[in-house]
Amino acid sequence: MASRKDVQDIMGLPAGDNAVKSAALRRPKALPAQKRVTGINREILALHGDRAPPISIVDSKKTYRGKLHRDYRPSKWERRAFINPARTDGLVLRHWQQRKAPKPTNDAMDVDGQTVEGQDPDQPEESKFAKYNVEVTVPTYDDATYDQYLQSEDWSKEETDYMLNLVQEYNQRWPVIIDRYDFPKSNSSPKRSRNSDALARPQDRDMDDAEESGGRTLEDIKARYYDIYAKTMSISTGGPFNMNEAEFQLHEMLMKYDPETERTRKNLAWMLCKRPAEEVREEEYLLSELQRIMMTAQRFEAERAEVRQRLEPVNALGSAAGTTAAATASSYTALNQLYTQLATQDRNRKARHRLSLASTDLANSPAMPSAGLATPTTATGHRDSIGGSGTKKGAAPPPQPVRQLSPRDEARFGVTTHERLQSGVSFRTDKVVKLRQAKSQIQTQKIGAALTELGVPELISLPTARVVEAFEGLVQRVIKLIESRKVVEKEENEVRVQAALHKELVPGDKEGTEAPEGEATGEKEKEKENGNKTEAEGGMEAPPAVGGGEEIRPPSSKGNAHKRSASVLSAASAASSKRSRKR
Amino acid sequence: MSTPNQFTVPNATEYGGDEVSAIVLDPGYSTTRAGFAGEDVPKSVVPTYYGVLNKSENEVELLFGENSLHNPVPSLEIRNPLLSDCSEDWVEDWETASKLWEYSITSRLAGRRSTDPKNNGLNDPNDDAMDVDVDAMDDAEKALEDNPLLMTEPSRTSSKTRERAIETAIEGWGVPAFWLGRSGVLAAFSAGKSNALVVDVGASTTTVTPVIDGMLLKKGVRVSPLAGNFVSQQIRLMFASSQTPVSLTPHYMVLSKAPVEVGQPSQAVYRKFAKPPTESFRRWEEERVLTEFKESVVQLWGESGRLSNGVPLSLSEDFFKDKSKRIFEMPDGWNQDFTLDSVRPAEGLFDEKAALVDSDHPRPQPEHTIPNLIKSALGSCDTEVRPLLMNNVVVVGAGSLTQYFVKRLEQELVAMYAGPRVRIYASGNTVERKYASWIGGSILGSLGTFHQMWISKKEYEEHGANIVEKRCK
Ligand SMILES: Nc1ncnc2c1ncn2[C@@H]1O[C@H](COP(=O)(O)OP(=O)(O)O)[C@@H](O)[C@H]1O
Repeated sequence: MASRKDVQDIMGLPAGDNAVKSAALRRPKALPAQKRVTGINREILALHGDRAPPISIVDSKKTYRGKLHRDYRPSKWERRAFINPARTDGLVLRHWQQRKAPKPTNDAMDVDGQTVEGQDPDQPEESKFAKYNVEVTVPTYDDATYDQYLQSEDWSKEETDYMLNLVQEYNQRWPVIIDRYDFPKSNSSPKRSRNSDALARPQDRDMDDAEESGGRTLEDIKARYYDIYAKTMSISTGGPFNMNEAEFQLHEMLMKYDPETERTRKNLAWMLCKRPAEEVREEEYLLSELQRIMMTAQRFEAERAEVRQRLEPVNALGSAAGTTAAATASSYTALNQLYTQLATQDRNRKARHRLSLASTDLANSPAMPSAGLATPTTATGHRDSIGGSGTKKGAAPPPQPVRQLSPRDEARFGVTTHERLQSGVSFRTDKVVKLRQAKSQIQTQKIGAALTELGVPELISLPTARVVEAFEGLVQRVIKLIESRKVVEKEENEVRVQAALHKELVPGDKEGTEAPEGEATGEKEKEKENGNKTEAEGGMEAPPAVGGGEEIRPPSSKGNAHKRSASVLSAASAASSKRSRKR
Repeated sequence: MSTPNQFTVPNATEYGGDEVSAIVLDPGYSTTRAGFAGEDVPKSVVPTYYGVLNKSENEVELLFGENSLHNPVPSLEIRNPLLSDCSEDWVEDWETASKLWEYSITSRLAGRRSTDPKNNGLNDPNDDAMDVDVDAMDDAEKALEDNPLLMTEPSRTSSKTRERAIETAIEGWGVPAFWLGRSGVLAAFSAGKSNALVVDVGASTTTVTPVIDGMLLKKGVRVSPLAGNFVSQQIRLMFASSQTPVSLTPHYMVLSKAPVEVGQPSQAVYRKFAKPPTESFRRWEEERVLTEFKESVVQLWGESGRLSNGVPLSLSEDFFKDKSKRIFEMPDGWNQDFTLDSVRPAEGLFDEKAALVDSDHPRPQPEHTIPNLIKSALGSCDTEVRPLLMNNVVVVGAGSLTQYFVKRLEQELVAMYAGPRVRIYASGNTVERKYASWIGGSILGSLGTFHQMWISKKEYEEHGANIVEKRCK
């Protein structure tokens, strides 16, 4: 292909100055042109399409790399001088730091001879680690104070000073202090050169004896230090009474330090560490043995307890609970306790035959009292009725209750036994309503009337088993009463008819009336029989109600009798309701 | 944030590093370690041995650095400036020691500033140039004027040596700030502990150092000579006393060798020397072989049951059967199975009765065995801190790299103190074990809170060398 130069040649254009220009022109154009990838087949390259190849294709022919391109400017670091304010000598050290914004300074500083040829005109900055230079405070005193308060028989003032210095120097690191403690005056034993001493030291020499710090033990030093601390503190604050809480506690603690106990404690601890391996092994063995024994004992105990549970009659439990109940006013807790006790027992022998009347029964009891406490009486009544009937049903299956409850307990826990039970759940309230119903409407009304007359409410608020029982008896008697009243009425009518007949017959006998009389007497006989029967029954059951026999009883007397029984009933029901609430 | 006082602890996040290009120097008996604080490992590890070369009648050249010490040059003496016994004056020849230490720093770390790169020794391609004649530097600028120096010292030193150390550093090297740390304490720091019982098995000494709250308990420090060099000596004795005496031939003597069967005499061709190298050179080269032997063969008896007189019982021989064999080949090709003997050289560290003896090397004293060192060290600490120390036993030093060392130590300690829980912390990383005290110094020297601990040149000038006693407690 013809180059530009050829074209220029052909067209006779001057090449010289244009060549320069064209080069200048060409350069910016060449830049945007995509970098050609060389060293790879064009066809293969075409397969990639527009996307970047999955591996980077490097031109292997190129011998040197282009300049590395970064899209950030590397931050400038400099070796900057700094001082540490914790030092007193103003030592200037240098470390590498990112350069801050340049700060014009003109005074060439010269802190001291330490300055290491500072090219950096900046004032050396302060080290951020200086703040960790902390010192402990040890008590200080002047001579007068020492003479007055702090004198001690076996501590000279010099040694005390020395000790305090050491404590400060080593920041109260006691093991180090005792290690470095070497106060010459009290060190009566000639100091051995440590060199030969350590080499020729008999191996067991210092296993047990006290430290050799001039005869001072760590406990001695501590005791002295704490004593001084406490005393100076007390002096500076003006006695223990002027101290604040923390100070006082510290003071107390310092005062209580007893070197002797400390020493014995440490020695004991070390004795424990020093035991020979056999002893340690023996202890380990004994411990594991002990654990084993404990476990066996526990298991044995548990087995025994279960056997005892099974053999022991429930009486003991029941009576125990009973006495507790008697002792404490609230039987609730006692009962609950008993319940949980029994429940756990029950759980323990889940797999076995479920025999406990008591526990099933009791299973209901915690619900009952809680409801009784929380809700009004009516609700309690319902609960009770539910619980009660549930009890009866639930308790049915075992034909022979294994545990014999005393009658008292039976009453207490509402345990009842039945020959035979109907299946399903029935409510006592239903039963109460049913009792009121008779075959005929009139009869029902009559019963209702009689009951209202007696003051028995339409709805019995607390139909406990006993209340219902009493109610049932009452209704039966009411029915009997109504029946006998009917008979009485009939008889009276008969009597009246016969009397009228008789009146007629005595002045002049008429045959026409005979037949009705015979009928009437026949009826009367029948009635009489009936009445006798009922009377006999009634008399057996409730003498006061049927006491009158054939006599015409005034309604008032009847009412009285009934009232009495009603009151008895109500009293009973009140008592039972009270009891149930108590539970 | 409230200002801290003596009752509050700073937040964990508030501790921080703040590096001031401090140099940490850890001079051991076998090697001297140096490097910048804040780094993981010392950049410069040079042997503490140096060579003395008599060039002419009154010209003596000192050679430093691994590269210049292994040429079998006649009249090259190899020496060590440190004392190998356990005395408080641990440096024998301060002058050379300071040159050696300076070399360890300047050869790789902080050269003389602004000197011509042509003659600061760093860029010279020649190996031998590493041992620049340090004397020439004296009149030059002080080598370390830019870097604070943290130096370690053995746990028990006399105050004379400590003063000498600060003198050397500040006056000799011109460091702006100096601090002297106990190697035991720093080793505890390297394990991340401020309470520890450090057991350091080095080359010349084994040191037991109790550390409480980052402070040395001076009275608890115990030092014994039963360490790496002792084990080397034991190996020599073992070689000498075996039925077929083992000849310890250093590498430099062997020109070429041919493989031989186990136990067969070597068929090496030896080098001929017109004037053989000195005895000290030979010993130094032998030591190299022995270290190899220690690394690959020597192990400690870590099973239950004592060794009888250093030899495993017949029962124990069974034990070795199913372990891999320990065959060691000498530089001259002679090789042997050392499986049974491998437990003998190091046993003396724990049981003086098992140590091999001859007329020159008497039986070590019983209180120098490691268990007794620990026992005695604990005995002189406050009773209350003993369980704490037992709970933090830190094992460092290259000598502790002997196989099963830690296992054996644990057995011994548990047998001794069954009551407190004995817990041994030994890094599994050999570098961390070898350079523990250097690493501890590196950590310490890079802490921001450490800045106030330095003894500055000014303080030194004001108070004199004695200040080191007060500040580096
Ligand atoms: N892997 C190893 N196993 C046993 N000993 C070793 C091992 N590596 C080095 N040593 C020995 O450890 C000693 C060096 O220990 P080191 O802690 O460096 O001492 P120092 O601190 O005194 O210089 C030398 O005697 C060397 O032989």
